[in-house]
Amino acid sequence: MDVMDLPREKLEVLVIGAGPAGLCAAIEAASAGCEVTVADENDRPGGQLSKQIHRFFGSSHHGAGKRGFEIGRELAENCLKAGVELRLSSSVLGLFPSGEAMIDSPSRLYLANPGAVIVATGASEKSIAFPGWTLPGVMGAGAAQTLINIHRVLPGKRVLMVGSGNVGLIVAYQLLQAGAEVAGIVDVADSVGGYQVHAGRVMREGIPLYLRHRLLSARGSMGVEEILVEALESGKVKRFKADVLCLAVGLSPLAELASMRGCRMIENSRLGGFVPWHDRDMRTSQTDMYIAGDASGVEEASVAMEEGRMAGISAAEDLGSLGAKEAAIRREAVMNRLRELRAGTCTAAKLEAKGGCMQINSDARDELLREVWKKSANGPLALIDCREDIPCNPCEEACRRGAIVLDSGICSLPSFDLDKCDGCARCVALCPGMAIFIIDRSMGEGFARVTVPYEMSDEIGPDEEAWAMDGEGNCLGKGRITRVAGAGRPGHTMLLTIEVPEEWALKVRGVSGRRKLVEEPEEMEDTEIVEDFTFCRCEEINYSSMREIIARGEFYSLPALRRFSRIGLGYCQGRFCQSILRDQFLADGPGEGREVESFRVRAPVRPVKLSRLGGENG
Amino acid sequence: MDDVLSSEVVVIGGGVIGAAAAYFLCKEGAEVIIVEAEDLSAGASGACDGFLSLQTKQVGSHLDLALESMALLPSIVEDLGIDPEYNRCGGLMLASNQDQLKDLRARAKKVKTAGLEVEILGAHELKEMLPGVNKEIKGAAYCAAEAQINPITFTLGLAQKAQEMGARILKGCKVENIVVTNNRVREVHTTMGSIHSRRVICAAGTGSNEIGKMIIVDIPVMPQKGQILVTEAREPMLDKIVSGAEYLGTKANLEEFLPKDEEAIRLGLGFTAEQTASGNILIGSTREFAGFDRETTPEAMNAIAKNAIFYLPWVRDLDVIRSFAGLRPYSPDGLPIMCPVKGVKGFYMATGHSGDGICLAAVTGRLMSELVLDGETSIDISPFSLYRFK
Repeated sequence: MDVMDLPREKLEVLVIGAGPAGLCAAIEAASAGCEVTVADENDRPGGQLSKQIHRFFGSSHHGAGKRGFEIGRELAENCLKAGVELRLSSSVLGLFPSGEAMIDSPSRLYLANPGAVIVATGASEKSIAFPGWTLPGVMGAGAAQTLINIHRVLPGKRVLMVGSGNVGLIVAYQLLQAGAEVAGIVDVADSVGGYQVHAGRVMREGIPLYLRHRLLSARGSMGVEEILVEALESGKVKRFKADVLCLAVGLSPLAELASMRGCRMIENSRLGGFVPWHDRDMRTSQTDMYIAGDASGVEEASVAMEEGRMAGISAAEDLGSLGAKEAAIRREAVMNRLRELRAGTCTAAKLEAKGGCMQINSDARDELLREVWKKSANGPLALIDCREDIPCNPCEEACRRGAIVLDSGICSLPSFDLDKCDGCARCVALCPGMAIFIIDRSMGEGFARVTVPYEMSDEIGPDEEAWAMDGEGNCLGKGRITRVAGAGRPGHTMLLTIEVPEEWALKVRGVSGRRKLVEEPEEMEDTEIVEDFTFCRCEEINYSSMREIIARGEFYSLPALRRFSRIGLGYCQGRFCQSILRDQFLADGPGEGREVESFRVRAPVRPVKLSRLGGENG
Repeated sequence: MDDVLSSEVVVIGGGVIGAAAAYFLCKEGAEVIIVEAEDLSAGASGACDGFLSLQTKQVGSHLDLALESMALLPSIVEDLGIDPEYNRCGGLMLASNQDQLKDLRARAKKVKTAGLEVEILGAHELKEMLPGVNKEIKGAAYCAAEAQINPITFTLGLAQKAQEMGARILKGCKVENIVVTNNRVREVHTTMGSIHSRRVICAAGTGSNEIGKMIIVDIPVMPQKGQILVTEAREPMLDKIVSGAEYLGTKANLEEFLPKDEEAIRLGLGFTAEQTASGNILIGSTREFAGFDRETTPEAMNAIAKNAIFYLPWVRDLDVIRSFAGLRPYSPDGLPIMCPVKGVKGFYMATGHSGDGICLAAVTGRLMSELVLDGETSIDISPFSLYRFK
C-alpha cells in the first residue's frame, strides 16, 4: 500500500468557478493560446447566471437584454469553442501554499498543479440572526431562486422578503412568477436599496414595500408560520402570515481559497467584506494568482465578466502566451468598458459611497409626460419610465428609428425623441427594467390603449377583462385586453395592450388577470419578550451565550473566540455564522479599532468523505 | 498600558504549560503575570488532539513524570471552573502484524516494571473492545490508565482559575527583551510596557528559541508539525483513544515500531483517532520538520486518511470538515526541558515538551512552582536539564 497515491495532473491555467467571471476569464486566456481548465462545483456552468430568468442590464457586449441563463449558456458555449475544458461537479477543496489544488471530481479526488490560478468563486449570501432563523422556511433569497428556477420547486405558498436590494426585488418578482404569493418586502432603510425599475416591477404587481421596518422574529412549530416585523417609527409590531421568509441582506465575497493560498486579504465593507488584495489587472499578492468577479468585491454580473476578461489577459500575459503590447491593448478595451459600467451614480454609489443615485429632475419629467399625452392622441408612442443612470442600453439598440439615444455612454439616461417614435414596442419587449410602455389615445372616445410588458404565468387572452395597475400597486380598475403579442414564445416578453379610460393613460404600468389582494399584516399591541435562540446551529450555542462570550472581552481574536466557544467549528465551519459573529465581535469585543482577522481557512473548504481523501474512487 | 508593572513571577507563554505553571504558582499564593503573544493556546496547545497517552512515554524518568502528571489530573479537573472533558477512557495501540504484537508484548512487560499496566489483547478480544477494527489487525496493547481531555478548555480552565486567584493575563503582548543585570533577571520588556520581575519562566513552546536569545542561551527546541483531520460530529462511535503501533515508532522513537515505508517515515506518519466530547473524530497524525509552516498539506491529508481507513475501515464514510496543523515544541530527545538557567538567576525553562505538553502539563506546573518558589522540587528533574544536550 502506498502511503500517498492521489493522482496528480499539470494544468496550465485553472479557473475556479464557472460563473460570468470565470467563464470570461477562461475565454480570454484560451483565446490568447493558453490551455484552460475550469472547475465548478455545480453540475451546470453559468454560476448565478444559470438561475437568472430576467433580462440583464449592461450593453450588448455583456448580453444585455438577454436573460441571465441565456448569457451563461452562451458563455459556456464560447468557452468550449475556445477549447476550454469545463469540469463540472468538481469542487476545489483546497488551494495550498505549494500551489497545488485539491479537486474532488465525480470520479475521484485529485491534485492539480496549475501554472496559474484564477479564483472566480463568486459570493455567498449573508445572513442575519433572529429568533426563528433556524426554522424550516427561512432561507436566503438566492436559495429560494435556486429552488424555483433550477429545481422548479416552490419553497412555500406565501413569502415575506427581507431586503429591498436588487436581489430581494428580483427574487420577490420571480417568486410571483413561479406562483407564490409575496406578502411584502421589508427593509430597515428609508428608501429602496435596488434599482427603481426593479422596485417598479414588484410594486405594480401589488407587492407592498415596508420601508423603515425591522424583522423581529419568525415563529411556527414545524416551520415558519408567522413573521413579526416592527415599524421603526411607531414601534408597532406587525404580524405577517407566511410560510417562507427570504433573506436578501447582502452578499459576501467568497475568497477563502485565495486566503488559503496565502493571498493578502484586505477588508472593505463596500465590497462586501474580506477580499484578496488585487491590482487593476486582477493580480493578487501571490504570483500566478488572479481574482475576478464577486470574489474580488461584490458588483454586477457585467462587471464580473469584464474582471474575468482582465484576469484572463493578465494570466495569459504572465504565462507568456500574450505579448505585453497585445495584452495592453486588450486590457485597455476591458478597462474602458469597466469604466463605462461603473460610471453611473447607481453603481458608483456602491464604490464611492456617494449616497443616492442620480434621478431625473421632476420638472423635466412633467414636461415629458405632457408631451406624451399630447402626441399620443395621434397614435402609439413610448413612455420611458427609466429614472436612474444604471448601466444599460438595450432600448437604444432596440429602436430602429433612432428615437432613443444614450448621449454619454451606457450609464446615461435615455433621451427620447417623440417625433421619431412610431410606437413599435420593440423597446418595451427588450427593456430589462420593464420600464417602457406604449400609450395610444388615437381611438378617442375617452379611451386610451396602454401596452405593457408582461411576464407572469397567469394567462390573459385578447378581449378578456383585466385589472389595470398603477406604478404603486394600486388597482386603477378594469380594462379590456385588445391585443396580446409574443404569447407562447418561450423567452419572449409578452406585450399586453389594455384599453382603459383616457385619464389612466399615463398611469397604467401593469396588467393583472386577477385582482391581487395581498393580505395585510395584523398589528399587535404588545410585543412579547423575545426568547433566546440558537445561534451556532452546528454546535448548538445560543445567541445570548454568543453575545455574552463576546461581551466578556476575554478573547483577543476571532480565531481564539472560535477555538474556545466552538462557534464556527462545526459542520458549516462558519459559513452560516462567521459574518454575523464578526460584526458582533467588532461591535462588542475587544477588537475595537483593530484589524480583525477572519477564521483561518483550511482544506477541505467543503465537507468531503474521508474515503475520497484516502484516494478511493467513486 | 503606560504604567510600569511588577510581578513576583512572569510566565512567558499562555499555552497549557504556562497556564499550568501559573495555576500552581497562584495556589501557593504567588503573584503572577502571564505574557501571551496572541491568545491562550494559540500555539501547540490549541492545535493538537486530546490524547493523554502513557504507552508512548520513554521508560524511565519520562514515564514516571507522565504517571505523576496523570495522578494529579483528577483533582485539578475537579478544581477548574469549566469542564475540560477529561475522560479516563483507556487507550488501544493496534498491531498490524505479528511482529508488532510481539514487540508490544515485550514492551508491556517492560512498562509494567515501571508501574504502568498494559494488557495485550488478541485479535478476538480486540474485536470486542473495538468493534469495526480491520480484520487484519492482529491484536493490541490496552492501557486502562490512558485518557483524553480537551486541550483547549483545559488550558483555558487552568488560566481562568489562575486568574481567579489573582494572576493577570496579558494577551496580544509580545516579549521584546529580557533585562539581566548582575546575573539576575530584572525586567521583561513587552509590547505593552515593562514588567519588573525577579523570576521569569519561559513556557513559550516553539517560541522559546527567540526568548533564549534574549538571555543569550541556546534553547534547542524546534517546531515539529503535526497534521490532523477533523470529521463531522457524530453519535458516540469510538470510546477509546486508539493508535497504531507505528505511532510508538514515530512518537517515542522506538525503532522496532517505525513504519517501513520511506514516505511514511519522512511524514512521521502514525495513526491516531479519538472522538471528542463534541462528537468529532480527530484523526492523526504526522511528525514533520517544516519550520514554522502551519499549513496542512494534501499529501499528509491523503496519507492520514488512507492510514485511518486501514485501521478503522468504517471511518471512510465520515465527512471530513477540516484539517489543521500544530507545531510541537520538539526537543532533540523528545523529553521536556525543565530547569533553572545557569548564569541567569531567576530564569527558568519549561519548554520542549514535544508531543506531551497536555499530558505533562499538570506535573510541569507543579514542579515549576516548587522550583521557582522553593528552589527545589519533589521529583528529581535533572534528567530534564537544558544542559543534557551538548
